[in-house]
Amino acid sequence: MLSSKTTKVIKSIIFCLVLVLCSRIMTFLLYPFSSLNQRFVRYHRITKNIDFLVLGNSLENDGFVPEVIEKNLGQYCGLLAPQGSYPESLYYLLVDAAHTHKVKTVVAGWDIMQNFQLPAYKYPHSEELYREFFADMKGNPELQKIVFKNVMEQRYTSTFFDWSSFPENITEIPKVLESRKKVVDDKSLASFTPIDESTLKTKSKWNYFEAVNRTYGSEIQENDKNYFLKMQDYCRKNGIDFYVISCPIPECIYEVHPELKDSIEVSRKFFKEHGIPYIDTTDEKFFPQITKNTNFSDCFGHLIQPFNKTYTQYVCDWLKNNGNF
Amino acid sequence: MSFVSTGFVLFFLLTALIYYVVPQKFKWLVLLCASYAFYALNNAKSLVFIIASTLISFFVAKKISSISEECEQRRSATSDKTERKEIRNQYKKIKKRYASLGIIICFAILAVLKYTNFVVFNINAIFKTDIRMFSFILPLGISFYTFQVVSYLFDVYNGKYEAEQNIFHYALYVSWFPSILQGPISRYNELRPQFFETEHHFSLENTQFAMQRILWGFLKKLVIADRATEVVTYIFGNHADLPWYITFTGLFFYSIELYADFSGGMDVVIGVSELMGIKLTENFRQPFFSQSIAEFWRRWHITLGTWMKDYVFYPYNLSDFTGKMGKFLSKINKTAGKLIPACLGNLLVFFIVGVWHGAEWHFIVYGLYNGILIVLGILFKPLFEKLITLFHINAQSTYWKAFRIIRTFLLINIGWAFDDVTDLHMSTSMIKQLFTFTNGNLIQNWKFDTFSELTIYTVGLFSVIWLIISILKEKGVDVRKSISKLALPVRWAIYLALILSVPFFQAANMVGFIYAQF
Amino acid sequence: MEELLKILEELKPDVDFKNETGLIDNAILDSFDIVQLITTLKETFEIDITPADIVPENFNSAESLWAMVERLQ
Repeated sequence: MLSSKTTKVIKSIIFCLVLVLCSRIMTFLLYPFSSLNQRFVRYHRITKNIDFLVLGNSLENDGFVPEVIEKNLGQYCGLLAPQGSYPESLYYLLVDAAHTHKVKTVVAGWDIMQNFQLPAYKYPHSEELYREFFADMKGNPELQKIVFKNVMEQRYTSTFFDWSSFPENITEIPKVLESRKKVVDDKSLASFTPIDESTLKTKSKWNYFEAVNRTYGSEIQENDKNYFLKMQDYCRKNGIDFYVISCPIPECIYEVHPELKDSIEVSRKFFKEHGIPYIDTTDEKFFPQITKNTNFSDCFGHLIQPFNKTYTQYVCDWLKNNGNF
Repeated sequence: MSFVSTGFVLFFLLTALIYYVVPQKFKWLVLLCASYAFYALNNAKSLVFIIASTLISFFVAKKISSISEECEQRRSATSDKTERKEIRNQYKKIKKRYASLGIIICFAILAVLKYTNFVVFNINAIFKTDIRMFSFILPLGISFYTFQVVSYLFDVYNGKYEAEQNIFHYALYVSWFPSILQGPISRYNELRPQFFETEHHFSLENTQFAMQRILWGFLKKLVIADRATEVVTYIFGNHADLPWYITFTGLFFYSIELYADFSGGMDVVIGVSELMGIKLTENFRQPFFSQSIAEFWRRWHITLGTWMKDYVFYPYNLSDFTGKMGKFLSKINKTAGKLIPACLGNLLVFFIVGVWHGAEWHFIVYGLYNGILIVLGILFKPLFEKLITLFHINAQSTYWKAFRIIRTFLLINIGWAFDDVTDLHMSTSMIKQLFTFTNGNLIQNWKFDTFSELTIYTVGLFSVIWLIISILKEKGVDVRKSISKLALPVRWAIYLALILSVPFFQAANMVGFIYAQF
Repeated sequence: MEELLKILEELKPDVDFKNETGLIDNAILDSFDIVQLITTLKETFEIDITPADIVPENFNSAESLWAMVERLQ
């Protein structure tokens, strides 16, 4: 017969196990496999090998149509463009994707309006971002130090209850469970699809004033420079063709912020200096009438259907003329 | 290291583990090392200041004690009453000099680091000079540990207890890590027996209760306070364009935010300390059930109030200066002679409370606002009592008590307009907005667009749960014990719901603790 | 002792000072009352009260107060 003390201790241990079980269930129900986190690549959700990887944020996600790339360049294309990504997070995405897939080409998005806004964009904005990559950082003490510091400073809920980043998914459980099914053929790894012309009139998610009321500088942040050069270095070491692209900016923004032309010029100089091929689609010469406001769903430059198809076509044409295709 | 961070959670768990593994005679040493490690991890460069205050106060107190001993020796050598009194007075003067020196130096360190820029700013404003501000780093918890150190010096000087002979024992009292950031302000005689005399054995029940308390603190901070702040920030920021009832709602949400933030922090602090078997004094006792402003300050930030009472209010009232003032005034009016010195003492206390909150004018106004209300309450007490009898009001009835609670709550909320603002202009504009009842030039189409409805519902739901628990506590119910008596499935369901509520309902963004920069 | 009771009753008329033993613990006297009481005690009995004397042990009941007064005389 166990003493009451031992029973109490056993009960406490069982309680802890029940707690962990409940938390795991919450993870299963709420933590989606989508481009909002990077797990899908690690868990081989895409069973077909991704040859052509597009990295970026929502701009790239809305702007690129994988089928067009496949038709023109003959490479299986995957979009790894979570909302709100920034240079540092793109580097991690690249490293993680390249572990699982034998990537041949990478096109990384360089978001002019995000990277040059003043006051400078503050990183990170997503607490759980680094957790996914901790195991991949053996032999990279600098990265390990950053991750360790971030984990120690973030709220304990983010560390011990990873689903705490997605409480809103409580209304989307069927979709979350759906997202966990193994899929052979998924072009876009996003959980949202670009808007088309008809819905544009009724749906205006973004605040015009937010984009217009910022100011834009012409100095690239050190962190951003470092991580793009890191990506270039990584690709060089692994035999991957590395390109950088900037998505087009609507003319309503150019009217209020002519200084963005300087930001673009600075970017061009930087990439030229380091020998990185730079697809500057903000250039009118590249895509005639690209800056027309009606191509976009908002003032940040999210392209809508069907213009994104044309856009991707133009990018493919550029690559065929300037790359190894 | 924020209390809600992963680092802090791992830190105190690790400390507790080592603490219970190590033999009894070394336990306090573990706590001392942990406290200094905590300090160094947060702000290693400012360690020099806390060490300085510790050393100065330790040696001054030791000196005072040895002077007292010498005094007693000489007094016992003679049996003449007048001679004994003479000796005592002589030595008292010497002790006073040492005590004053120690207290002034410790306060000076605090004053220079915290208030120099305030003084410079005002000199610049008045004399139109352009003296550059200094960039001092504020050492961690300097307001709190300085008050603890000064209380120790006062107590030793007053003969409440003997000075500590072991400097490392004393250092633990000054640096005790749970209370260094936000209090509570402890007295040496409260902590000494717990640190160095009581035997601490691992107790499952104690651990469970402590973890529950810490969890409750996390919930208050992450779910209630951090969400309420979204509403407060929006309303305070836009108050000029909002109707008076929304401005008041903002103040009301600030009550929730500040109370949840500070008392939640206290729950974590007291819980962590409890985990190690060290019981700290409570800092809150359901303050919004207060029936008067005076009572509010006996229930809100209790240890600050008792510190002020014991080391400012009483010494001031017992001083010769006050005695003379009282005698002088009683010649004019007997009641005035009794009340006026005490009222001035009260204003002094609240002036210091205001200054303690921060080196800005609006904080001083905040302190005096509270002080003046209390003084008015005292001065008008006879008048109020006459009115109560005149209108045949039953002062014992629940309705009257409810009226007093609501009245106090409203006054306290108006007071916040002097607390969470950038400057006095903002205070006056908020109060003006509060009492502008005509629609005049108000923008009609205001809406909350920086936070979701979910925020309001969450704050509402958990505030109601909190209110129920507060009512139970007010009635003397020990909530943790009561829950532990429920059937296993029920209490496990409650614990799981609370633990999982925090990650589920927490605010989207991490927000720092309000009192951690003191 | 009678004098002390008179002083206390004048300070707070509706308290039963003969039997009450929790003047501090039950918050019957607040810091203002204590300060006024001390002033009166100092005047009436010509004693010197220090902050160290302001503890519940001395102030909780009329008896303990009287014991303190006698001690300090």
